[in-house]
Amino acid sequence: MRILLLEDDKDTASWISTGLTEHGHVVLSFANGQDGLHAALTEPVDLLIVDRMLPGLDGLSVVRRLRAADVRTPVLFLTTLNGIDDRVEGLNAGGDDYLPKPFAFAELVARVAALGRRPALGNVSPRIQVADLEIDLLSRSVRRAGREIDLQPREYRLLVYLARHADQVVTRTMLLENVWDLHFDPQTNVVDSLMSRLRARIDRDFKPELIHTVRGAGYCLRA
Amino acid sequence: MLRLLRTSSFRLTVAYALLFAASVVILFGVTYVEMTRAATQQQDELLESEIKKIQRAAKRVTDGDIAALVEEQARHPPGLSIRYRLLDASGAVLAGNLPPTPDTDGAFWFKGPRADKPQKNGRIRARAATVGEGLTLIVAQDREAQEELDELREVVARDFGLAIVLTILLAIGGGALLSAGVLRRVASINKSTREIVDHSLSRRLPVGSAGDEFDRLAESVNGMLARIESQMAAMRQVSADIAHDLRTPLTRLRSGLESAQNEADPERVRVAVTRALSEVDGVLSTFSALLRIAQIEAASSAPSSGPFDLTEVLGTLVEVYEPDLEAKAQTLTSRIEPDLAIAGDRDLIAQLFANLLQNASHHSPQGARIELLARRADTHIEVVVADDGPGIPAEEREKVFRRLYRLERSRTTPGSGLGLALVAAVAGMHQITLSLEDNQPGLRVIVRVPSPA
Repeated sequence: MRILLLEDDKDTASWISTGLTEHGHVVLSFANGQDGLHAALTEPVDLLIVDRMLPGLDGLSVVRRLRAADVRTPVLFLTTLNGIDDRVEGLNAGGDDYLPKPFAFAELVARVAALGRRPALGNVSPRIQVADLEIDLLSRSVRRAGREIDLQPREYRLLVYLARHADQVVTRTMLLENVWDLHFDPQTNVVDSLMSRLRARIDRDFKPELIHTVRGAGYCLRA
Repeated sequence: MLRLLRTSSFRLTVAYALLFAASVVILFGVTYVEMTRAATQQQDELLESEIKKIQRAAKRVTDGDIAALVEEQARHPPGLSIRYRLLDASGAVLAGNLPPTPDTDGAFWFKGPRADKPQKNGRIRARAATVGEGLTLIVAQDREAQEELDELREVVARDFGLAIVLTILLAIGGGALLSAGVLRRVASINKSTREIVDHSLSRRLPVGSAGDEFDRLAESVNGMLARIESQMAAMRQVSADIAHDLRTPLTRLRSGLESAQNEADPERVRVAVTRALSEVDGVLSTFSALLRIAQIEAASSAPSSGPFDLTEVLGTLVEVYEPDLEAKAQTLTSRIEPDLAIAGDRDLIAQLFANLLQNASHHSPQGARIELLARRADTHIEVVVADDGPGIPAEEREKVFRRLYRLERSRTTPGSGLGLALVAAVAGMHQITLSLEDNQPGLRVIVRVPSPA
């Protein structure tokens, strides 16, 4: 992906840029809000990573102006501001995700992949297929190798999220937010424990193994 | 002295006095005008009745005799200085003792020689009418004849004038006196507050026995001072706690990294770095939690509030904490009424209950029983989190909500000591009440959430 990074701290910018480049992305860096906005309006990019505190023009304003100019590119806010209002403010300004600093790099990579992969509007298929796993979203039924599999509601929700992000790393934080609707860390291993129950139903009696643990990052569903 | 003039009580009195003076002036004006109008009307009626009298008499005689009639009347007028003038169709004078008048009909004023002092001119009120066959009769009376009226008007004017002057003097005098009194009270309050600011927050304003608004003001300021004092004490306490609770992991972090510096074996370096990362995460998490609690306490209301389903949130939490509880062989029984709707910040309230559940689990031994109950109770929704663990001694129940407070026996258990502080902060923001009770055995936390009916 072509990623536009707006970050004024040189060390952070260089760390993020290097890391993302290693994952195969192309990163354009800007340290100033005005320059960044200009670039966002003139260059073709797939994703924007925006720090809220920027010299020139602050991150929120940059995104607001982008949205006002009808630019729909996904935006990930990075910020030291993690007050109770800040996340909502960021999302209301037109951001799509909000990652407080400091963060684990794996979290950034996973979220970048998830944002970049969003389907274009109107393109929501009622069926998801990964190898021999079939999920029918309309009837909420799950099959593997033709056999019907019974899942509890939360297990189903987890599987659908994994499948929608197939081939991407999904972090525990992302799962807590999207499968359990929790925006804080409950400090339990509920994610791991549900994942092993899901594996027992989906993977244990089948080949190939679809659910993989990615050390230090999270999980990934892939064939 | 100038201060006196600037007080609001003085200004109020002056404004009031001006208002009264203005109304007096208006009253006077109206009275004056009315008196004049009434007098004029009276005069007109007199003249009119004279004319009618002559008109009636004129009907019984010929034109020639009308003149004689008028002359007769002029010699014996019914009122002071009433004069007459009779003209024929061409305007020639036939009779009368009235000097020439303007050529007008109906009722009118004109200036002419006075009846009592012919050398002087005065204002004369006249009425003209037709009489007989095309003859014009004019009857007039000097305005100056209305001496009584004039005297009366003078008296009225004088009296009103006196009233206005007296009122203004009284207002200024009274206002000054009142304001001086108020100024004194205010000056005393100012002095006291300055002393408090300069010296000690533990001093208070003196409260008199009058029970008036100044006393009430002093009482509320005292209340405010008490709250500020206790908050500052809490802040000092927190700073001390934070210093202690952050220094420990930071010290471990530093020493771990320092030994990693001298380590030759790359594997051990990697282990040291991993441990260091974990300490950093611990510090960051304590830090964020403290910041968050401070923000919640400072916020005047929940930032992103809305109605949401508490049943669903509690259900999710039960699900989320079940594995951990199982790991400690603890059982969680829950009875949650369906469709419990409340208004507030969903995330913060979820954290509130998560913290209570976590606390119940962490501070209870293996095999403990934990209960979560949620039900509707007329004006509010009641949620109970109870355990049969060691509980909290009565004298510590107030203190546990303080940041970083740990019971002596819990000093070594995992947890930052911030859980209940967050619970208290979120509760405060949402008008949620918390009470800690003895579950006999164990701790019973009762949370009452106002229900949007």
